[in-house]
Amino acid sequence: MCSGRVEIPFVLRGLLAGADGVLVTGCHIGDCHYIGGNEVARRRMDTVRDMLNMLGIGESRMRLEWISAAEGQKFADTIRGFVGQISSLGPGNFGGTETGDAGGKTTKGGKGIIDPKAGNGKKEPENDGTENGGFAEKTLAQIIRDTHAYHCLSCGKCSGICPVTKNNRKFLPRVVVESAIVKDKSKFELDPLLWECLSCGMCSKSCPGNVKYADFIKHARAGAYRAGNVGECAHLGMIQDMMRLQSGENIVQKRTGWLLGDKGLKVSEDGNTLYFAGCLPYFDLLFGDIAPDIPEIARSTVKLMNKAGVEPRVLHNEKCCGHDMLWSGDTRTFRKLARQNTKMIRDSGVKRIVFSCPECYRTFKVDYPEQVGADALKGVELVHVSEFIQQAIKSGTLRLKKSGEKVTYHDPCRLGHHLGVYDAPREAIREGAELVEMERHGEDATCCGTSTWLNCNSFSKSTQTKRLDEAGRIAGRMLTACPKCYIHFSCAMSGKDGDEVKTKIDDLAVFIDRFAEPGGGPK
Amino acid sequence: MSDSEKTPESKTDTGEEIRIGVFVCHCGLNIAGSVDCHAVSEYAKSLPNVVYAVDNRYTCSEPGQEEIKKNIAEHRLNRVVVASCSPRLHEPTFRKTCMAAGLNQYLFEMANIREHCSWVHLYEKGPATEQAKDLVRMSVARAALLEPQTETEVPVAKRALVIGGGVAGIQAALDLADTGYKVFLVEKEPSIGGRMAQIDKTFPTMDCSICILAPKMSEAGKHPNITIFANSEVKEVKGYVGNFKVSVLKKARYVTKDCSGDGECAKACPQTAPNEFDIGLATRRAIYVPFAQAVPAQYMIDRNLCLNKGNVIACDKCLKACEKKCIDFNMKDETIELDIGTIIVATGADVFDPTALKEYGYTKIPNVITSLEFERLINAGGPSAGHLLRPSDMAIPKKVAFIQCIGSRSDRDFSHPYCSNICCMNTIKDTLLIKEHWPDTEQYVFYMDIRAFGKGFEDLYQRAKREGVKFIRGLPSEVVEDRETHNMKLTGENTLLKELYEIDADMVILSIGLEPRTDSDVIQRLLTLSKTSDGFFMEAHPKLRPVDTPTKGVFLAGCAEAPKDIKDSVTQASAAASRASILMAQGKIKVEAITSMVDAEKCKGCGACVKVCPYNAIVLDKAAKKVSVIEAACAGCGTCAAECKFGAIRMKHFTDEQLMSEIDAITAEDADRKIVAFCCNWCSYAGADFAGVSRMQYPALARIIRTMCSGRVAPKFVEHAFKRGAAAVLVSGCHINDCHYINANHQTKKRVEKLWERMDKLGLDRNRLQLAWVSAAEGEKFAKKIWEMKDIVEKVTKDEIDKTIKAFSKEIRKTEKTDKFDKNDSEGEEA
Repeated sequence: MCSGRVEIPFVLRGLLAGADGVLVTGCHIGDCHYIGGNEVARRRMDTVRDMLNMLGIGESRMRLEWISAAEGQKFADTIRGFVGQISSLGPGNFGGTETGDAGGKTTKGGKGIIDPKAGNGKKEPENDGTENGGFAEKTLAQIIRDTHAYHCLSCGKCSGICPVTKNNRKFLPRVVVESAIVKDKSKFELDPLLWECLSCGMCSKSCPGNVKYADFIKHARAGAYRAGNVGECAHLGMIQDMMRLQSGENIVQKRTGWLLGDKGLKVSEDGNTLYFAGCLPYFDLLFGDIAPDIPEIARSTVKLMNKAGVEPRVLHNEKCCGHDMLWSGDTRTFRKLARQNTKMIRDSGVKRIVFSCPECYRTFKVDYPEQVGADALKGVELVHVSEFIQQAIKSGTLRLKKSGEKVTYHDPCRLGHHLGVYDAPREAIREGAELVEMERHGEDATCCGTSTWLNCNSFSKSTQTKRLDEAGRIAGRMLTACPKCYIHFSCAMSGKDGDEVKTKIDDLAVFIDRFAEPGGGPK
Repeated sequence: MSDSEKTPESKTDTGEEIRIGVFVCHCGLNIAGSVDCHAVSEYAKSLPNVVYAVDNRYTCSEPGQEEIKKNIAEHRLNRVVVASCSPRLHEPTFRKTCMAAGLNQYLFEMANIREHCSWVHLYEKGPATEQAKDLVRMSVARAALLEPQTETEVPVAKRALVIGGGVAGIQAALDLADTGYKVFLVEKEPSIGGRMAQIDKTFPTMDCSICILAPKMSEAGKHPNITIFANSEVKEVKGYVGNFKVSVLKKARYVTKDCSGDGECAKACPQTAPNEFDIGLATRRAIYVPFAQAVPAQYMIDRNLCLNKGNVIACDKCLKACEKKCIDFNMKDETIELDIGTIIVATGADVFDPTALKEYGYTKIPNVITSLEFERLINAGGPSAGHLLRPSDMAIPKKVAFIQCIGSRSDRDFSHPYCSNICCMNTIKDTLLIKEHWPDTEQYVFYMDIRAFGKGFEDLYQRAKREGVKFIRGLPSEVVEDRETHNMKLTGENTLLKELYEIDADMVILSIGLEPRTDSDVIQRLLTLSKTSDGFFMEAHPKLRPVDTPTKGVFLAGCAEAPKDIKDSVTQASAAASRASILMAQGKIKVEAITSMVDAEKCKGCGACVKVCPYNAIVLDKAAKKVSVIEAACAGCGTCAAECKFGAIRMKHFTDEQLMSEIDAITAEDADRKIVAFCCNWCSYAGADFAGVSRMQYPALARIIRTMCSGRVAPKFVEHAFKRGAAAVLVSGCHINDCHYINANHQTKKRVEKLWERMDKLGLDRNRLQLAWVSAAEGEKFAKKIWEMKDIVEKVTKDEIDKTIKAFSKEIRKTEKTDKFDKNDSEGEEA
């Protein structure tokens, strides 16, 4: 009805579906039938332009034109002109249709995800090693065995501790496991409850059966996705679409714009250490209005590394690590991304990678070896920025001034529960500030309430505001070591429940960098 | 079967021709399901010296044994090979069969084509059959070289040692003593009684625990045939069945036997400490008896707590209080040496420490207690005189929650995977005790499964339900304490309702499981026992010899073997006593003729064997430059024979020639696709058997040669296997410190390490020689090892094998030269 109805993912989905260009038209500014819907369209298309430029697709693949009901000629000219422009650019092949990967026709628009069965008409075989470059999807029986799900004693300890169950009493983690074991595979794979889990890993902490629940969900979702059972994505799936577009082999991004923001940043072309920034530049485009410091996370990390005497390399065409693809069941796109990243990194010859995002960190550390080969990054040391800071302080290459500020720290699930890194960020914080702990912290820490850009709802928001409230009561500032936690918390504060929240929220690297100075070399 | 006889090809030293009969067992479909048994028996006919071969359904059956006897006579067989199950199972059966037919039992040989073959290659009939043929070929080759042996008879001392004075130990001691044998009962704690003495009531009959135990304790204390060493530990066990030499350390009590037990001394003592018997819920003095019914009822002094250190008397309050003057600060620890015929291990179990389950807050939340602490609290003789008082405010709780399976049925690092057997019934009994004393108490039991399997158990469970105890299926996710009231909130899922619950309780009782004693390693080492994967002592056979251990003359009773309740402990104790009595009643026992002999001609008196013998059974006569073996002291590990460079030591029944013949038989065909595996009888051979019994599948690559100990494996055996073109060699034995022959496997390690160094020097891949410590319970580890070695076998090239053959052939010539050189050297030194 209005150009204001056109959302960012509509454009992205068009490209993923194989379109070479997308045209959006509406009433002239000031003439909107719905007061100012076209103003919204203009703002959104500005974001789309930025994103297409960042993806290396280029803004010229999208045109926004205001055409009134009387401007038939303009419509015709616009079409002719745009077609001419696209023809001169040549085919885009953003859906990867030539290789038959990563896309297909859009269905289930409301759910905001590409139909997994529509990948160029080819259905991914259940267990065929060749299709996935030698890596077969696990069968349900294998998943049950490998994740210890068979050992579930149905004791229900998971249900009582699960942050999702607290909100949605239909979701009992053990029941999902039980249905995997006893129900028909087809029925199980169509269970919508598979998408409720936050994969925070809290339940596995005290599970007597040692069921690796997060892993169980990860693999089960791959089966569900193939069976056409896809999760409800937040933001209509635009983030997933952005990630799918990145996976195109022909995509050459321009994503390192954040580096230009600060002339003092020193990066090198041939160092041994790589800084893997993750999707921060894209998140800045999408959420910069609610979480202003996103690119600062990357800049601060590089600054910290510089202060510690390291000039990192960055990959100008770094691809999304694939975490969210993997956890939303799209293993095909995940593997494409993983292969491109591992190839670039192998070719670069770096010996160490520093991550800002715990999700990238986990994905490189756990999922790449599992999904694309144990040797993919053999010999490359992987560290989270919190560990980098801790090591730098220990070795004397970095020093922190005492700020005296009282702060608290929120453990990101991937860093804490998944990888067991609880101490490194705390040791780093204690060097520069006074750390006070929230009731549930470390091994008991709760999730920020959202994961994989899937489950974002009123419950997530209330989880986030409660957490912020608690943090506010004991400290003025809450730090987190995950850019996604940072965005989710910032979002909660920008919403209407968040008005009363006065807690300041910061990324760990950004906070630490304020007090860091060169340590004067190894002790 | 063809009756046409082949002409035997070999003759023994005495000129007798070798005539071997081979009997291949189908074992129903256990073997025949994956091995073509008929093809194997047909193949056996083609082997040298085999004059008769047949396959039958059950060789161990009466008709099967008759067939062996008949054919021994008919075909004048003087060697018998049975290809069937593990010799650990049926060797004694077939040896008896041979003896009945007039054949010396040492002329019998067994090929293990079930545990080591058909059961582990269920789905590979071809390779399994080939392997079975190999195993038969090995046995036939070895059989040709077997010699008759005479077993010596040793006396069995009619004195038993019972280690552990809990109810199992007490029962075993009483049974043996009543039968007429002298019993020594050794207890680590100051009093006998064990766990049962700590418990208030017993299930399912609700008897007063100490009331039924105390008479037995006192009977044991007064029995003329029983000597109790309390506050004592077994320090050393030497010898063998019937002839154990045991050292017991009797720690000083500093109070003489004359003690009347009136307790005046304790009243006078100024020093207090938590009372271990009450799990720290009450205190005791430095001079104390652990509990009123203690046997011996003698007081003792805890010198760590007492103010009097060393010879300095700083406090004489107890001395003054004691009318009978039985306090002696100069009392010394004593070591008592005992000659023992049989040993019963009744060392019991520890209770699980639930601190590690952080979600339940034990030690952090005062009103979370363990089920054992509960027993002391509810016991009239306990610290609260039977009043269930909660620790935070000494109030009687109104709402009590029991949480089951604490430390049991869990894969978490600090927990145990097994069900602890007793906790369900113990909790049910506890709920009824609370009902009895405080009927209005609201009670919840959070459980996963209630296992009420024994006689009278289900009745008791139903009674608790009838009385209104609420059983909730689903364990709490966490226990959260209200810091002000010290009440607790339990949250979790009622898995039957599929609903979350939040239940308040003012006392939480963690139903803790049982675990192996932390110091069970000591007993394991002293008696060369094995443990199952759960850490409890392993029985000789889980069904048929459930109270025997692999060590002859040593038996198990009570929780040392697995968690069990009082009834089962007592039953097992009587069984163990009965098993021990059989040996002592016979008064003598034959021991296997597997000992070493010295060939004086070849012995150069270098003394290398003397150094490696774990039993000091070899003595060097320096003047004569010869060694000799004390046969009674030799346990038969064979590490001396492996050490001797001159071939001067001969292990009876495991001679160099016999073992070499097996290597030759393995490598006769397709050596480059085979693993020559040496496994010790007690651990790794049994481990491979266990893999078979558990049907753990692994590739048909390994050919196992049994030795009594991995210490028997001489480097020349490994070299010979490589020289014969074997793809890989596996040497496998008991874990270091678990060696059945004290420490003979240390020699194994040393020898293999030397071989690795040599392989490195020769430019050979050291991975082709693997060393693996596999216990009798580690079937999975054995199977995994073979899977690992599959890669090595597949990767090794013909060139590499040729290179190895050449390298070792040269190397061996060189060593021979060096040996001569060495010998000249040592002669020079001595001169």
